[in-house]
Amino acid sequence: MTTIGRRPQTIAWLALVAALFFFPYFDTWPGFAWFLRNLEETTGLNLSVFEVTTFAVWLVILTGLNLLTGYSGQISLGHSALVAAGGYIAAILLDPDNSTEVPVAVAVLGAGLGACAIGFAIGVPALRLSGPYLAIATLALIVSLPQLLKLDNIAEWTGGASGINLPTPHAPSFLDGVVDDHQWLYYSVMFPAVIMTVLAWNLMRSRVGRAFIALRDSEIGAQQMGVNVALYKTLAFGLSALYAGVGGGLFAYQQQFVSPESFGVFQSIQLLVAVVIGGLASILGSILAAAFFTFQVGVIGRLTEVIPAVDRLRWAFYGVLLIVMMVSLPTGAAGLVRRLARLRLADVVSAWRSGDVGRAISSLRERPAVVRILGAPSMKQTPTMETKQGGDDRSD
Amino acid sequence: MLKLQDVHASYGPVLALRGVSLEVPKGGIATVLGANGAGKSSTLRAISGLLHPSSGVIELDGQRIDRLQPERIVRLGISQVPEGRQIFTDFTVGENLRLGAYARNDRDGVRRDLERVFSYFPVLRERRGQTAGLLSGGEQQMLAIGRALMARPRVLLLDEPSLGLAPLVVREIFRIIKAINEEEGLTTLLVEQDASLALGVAQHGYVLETGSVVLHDSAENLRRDDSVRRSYLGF
Amino acid sequence: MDEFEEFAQQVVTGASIGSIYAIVALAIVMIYRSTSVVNFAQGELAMFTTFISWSFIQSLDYFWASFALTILVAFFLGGALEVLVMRPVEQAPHLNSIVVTLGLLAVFNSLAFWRYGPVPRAFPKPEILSGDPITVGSVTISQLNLGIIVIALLIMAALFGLFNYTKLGLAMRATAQNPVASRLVGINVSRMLALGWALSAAVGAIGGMLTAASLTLSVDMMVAILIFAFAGAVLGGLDSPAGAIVGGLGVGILQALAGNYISSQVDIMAAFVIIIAVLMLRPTGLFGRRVVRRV
Repeated sequence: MTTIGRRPQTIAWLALVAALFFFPYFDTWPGFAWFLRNLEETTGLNLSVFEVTTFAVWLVILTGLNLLTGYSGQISLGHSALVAAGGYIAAILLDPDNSTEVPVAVAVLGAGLGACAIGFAIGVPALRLSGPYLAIATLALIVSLPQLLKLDNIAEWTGGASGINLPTPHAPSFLDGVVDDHQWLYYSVMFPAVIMTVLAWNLMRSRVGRAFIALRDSEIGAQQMGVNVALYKTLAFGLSALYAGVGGGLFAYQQQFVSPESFGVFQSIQLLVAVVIGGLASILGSILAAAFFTFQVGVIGRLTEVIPAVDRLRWAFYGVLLIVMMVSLPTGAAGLVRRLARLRLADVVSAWRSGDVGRAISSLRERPAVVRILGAPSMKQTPTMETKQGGDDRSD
Repeated sequence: MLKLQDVHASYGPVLALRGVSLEVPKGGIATVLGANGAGKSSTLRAISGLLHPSSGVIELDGQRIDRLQPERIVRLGISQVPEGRQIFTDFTVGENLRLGAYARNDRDGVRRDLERVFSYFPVLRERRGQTAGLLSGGEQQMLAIGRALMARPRVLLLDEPSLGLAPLVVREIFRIIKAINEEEGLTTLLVEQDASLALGVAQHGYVLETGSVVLHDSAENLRRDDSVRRSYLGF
Repeated sequence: MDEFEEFAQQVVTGASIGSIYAIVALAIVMIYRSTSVVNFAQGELAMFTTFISWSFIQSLDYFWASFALTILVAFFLGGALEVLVMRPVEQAPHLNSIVVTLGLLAVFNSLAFWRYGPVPRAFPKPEILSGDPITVGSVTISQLNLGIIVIALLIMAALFGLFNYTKLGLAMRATAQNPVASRLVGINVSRMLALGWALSAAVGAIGGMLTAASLTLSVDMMVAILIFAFAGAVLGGLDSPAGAIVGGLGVGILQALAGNYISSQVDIMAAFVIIIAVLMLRPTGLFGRRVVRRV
C-alpha cells in the first residue's frame, strides 16, 4: 500500500512510540522549551503537557464519534450527552464529598460502562429510526440535557448549575520526584487513550468494521448481504458510547470539573466538525480530529488578538469549514493524506530532473489520485444521474 | 429522425461512450444491444440530456440537441422510459400518468392521450387510483411506458424494459411496444439485454461493445449473423 | 378561576406559543416535502432574517413594509443557499446534507452574533395587533397571539393549496420523490429545489419575526423553539403541512399543561419525550403518508 519499505516503517513506529512516551520530559531540554514558548506566542498552538493530555481525552471521545458516524453512518448529536454522562458518573464517583474513595481507574471504567449501557439503551429504539429522524431525536436529547442536569431533584448529586469540582490528581507517592502532577496526568490519560485507539483500529479492520461500513452504505443492502443490522447498529451505539463514557470520565478527571455548560448542542456540532475535518471512517482521521479540536482553541485565540472579529465569527468559521469539507473533501484530512501517499512521486521527480517538465506535469496530471481530486483532464465533467433511490444506475 | 454522430461521454474519469454513431429513421424502431457495461444506458442518457457528451453530435429531426437541458429535450419531443422504471411510488397511477403530460398545456389532448394509454394498458385503468408503489413489476413497466407516452413524444426511448419481469409479461409488453410503433408511427429506440426479444420487434440493430458500435445491420441479418448468435442469442 | 377555566387558559396560552412552533414546523415540512432534506439550520436562518427585519424597521420605521421586505430577502437567501450550498451535496448520501445544514446553523448563529451582539433587543409589535387582550369568560388571549394563530392557519392553507392543487406543487412533490423521473417528464428539478428552500426560508422568516414580536429579539431565541418545532413536525408528520399545524399547536399546549401541572423545569425534556414517543409508536406522525417501497 505504501511505497516506504518495511524497515523504515518499523523505525518510524518505534520513534513515534518513543516520542509519545518521553514527551512529558521534552521540555526539560531548554531548546525544546524555547521552541514551545515561541510556537505559542506566534501561532497560539499550545503544546504543553496539559494540552497534549487534553488531546488524549478528546482522542478517545472523537474515536467513539467516528465509530458511530464515520464508520456506521449514524448521525447522532447525542454523543455529547454520552460524554456528559460519563463525565458526571466519574465526577460523582470521584467527588470527595461523597463517602467512598474510589480509585480513578474504577471511576473511569464505571463512567465508560455507564455510558455504554445508556448507549445500548439508545441503540435499541434507534434501530427503527433512519437518518434524519435519528438526528432530530438526538438533537432534542442534547438540547434538553442542560435542563435535565439542573433539575432540582437530582441537583444534590449533579451539583445543579454549578457542577462538580474535583481535587487535583496527584502522582502516587512512590513516584515522587520522578513525575510531577502534570506528567502523571499525561501518563494516566495517554496510556488508556492509546490502548483504546489501537483497539478501535483493530476492530475496524475486522469483520465488525466491515459490517459497520456496510451498514453506513446501505442498511437494506447490508441486510441482504447477511449482516445482522440490528446487532451491528446497536453495537455501534454501545461501542461509541463506551468511548464517549471513558472519554467523559477522563475529561472529568483531567479538567477536574464538570458542569451543564461543559456540554451542549454547540459542542456536539464542534465534535462533528472535528471528525469531518479529520476524516470520517478513519482512525488517522480521529487523531487529526482530536488535534484539530484541542489545538484550534489556542490558534483561534491568537487570531482573535490580531483580528477581534474572529472571536464572534468563530462558529461561522467552523460552519464554513464543515460545509466546504462535506462538499469537496468528504474523506477529510486523513483522506487527503491517503491520496497524497498514493501519489508515486518518484517517477515525477525523475522526469523533472531530466528536464522534461512538460512530461512530468502531464504524467502527474494523469495519476489516478490526481484525477480523482481534480477530475479527468480535457474531458468535460458533468453531474451524473446517480440518485439516492433507484439503486445503481451505472450499469452501462 | 434521431441521429447520433461520434458521441463521446464519460462519468468523471471513466469513458462510457467512445464515438457512438447511430440513426433511427422516422417511424422506425431500432435496438441497441450489448452486454452489461457496454454503454447502452449511457447512450439513452446522453440523448435525454442526463449525461452531457464531451464531443459528438446528437440531432433530432435535424436540430442539434446535445447541449440542451433534459427539461428542454422532453419538450422537443423525446421521452424516455428509464431503466428500473423510476415511477413515482408515492403517487397514484393516475397522478403518475398526468405527470407524464407535465410539459403540455393542451387539456383536451392530454385527456385523449390518457384514454389512448388506457386502451393500450387496460390494467392501468383498473388501478387508476392505486398507489403506484404497490403495483407489480409488469404493471409498473406499463405505467412507465404510459407515462412516457403521455408527453405525446416524437421519439420514444426504452431502457431495458424486460429487466426483472416474467417472460409472459415481457412478451405482452413487447407486443404493445411494437403495436404503438406501428399504429402511431412513433420512432422508437430500444435498449435491451434480451437480444432475441429486441430483434423480434426492431427493424434495425446496433451492437455496442465497451462504448462503441461494433456491428449494425437490419434486424433480420443480425438474427442470422454468427457472431451475434454466439454472443447474444445463446447459440 | 375554577379548574376548567384554568385548564382552558393553559390551552389558549399553549396554542399561542404553539402557533409559532407550527409556523417553524411548516418551514421544516416545506423543505422536507420538496427536497427530502431536514434543515437543521431552520431556526438560525429564521433568527438571522428577523435581525435583518429589525434593521429594516430601524431605517424604514414601518412594520408591514419591513415585514414584506424581509420575506422577500429570506426568499432569495433560501434559494441562494440551495443553489450554492445544498446542490453540491444533493447527490451524496443524506448524511452529508444533514451535516451541511448543521454547518449552516453554526454560520448563521455566528453571523448574527457578530453583527448584532449578545444583547437582546425589543422588537415592535404591529399596530393592528397591539390592542387590548380579548377575553372570553375568564380566558384571555392577547391580540398578538390571536393574530399569530390566524397567520399560522393562513400559511398552512396557502401551502396546502400549493402542494395539492397546483401544478407547481405537484412538480415539487415529484422532485422530492424521484428527481430522475421528474427530469424525464420535463420538470426543472433545480428550480424546484431552489423554490422549496426559498419558500421555506420565507415562512421561517415570518415565524422568526412573530417570535421576536412575542418575546424579545436575541441571537439564541430560536434554539429552543426549533426543538419544539421539530417535535411538532415529527408529531404531525414530516411531510404534512396540516400535520405541522396540529403538531405545533399540540406541542405548545402539552408544554403549557406540563409546565403548569408538573414543573416548568421539564419543558424541553417533554418535547424530547414527545419526539421519541412518536418515532417509536408511529414514525410517520399523525398525518404523514406511509412511505411505500418495494425492495
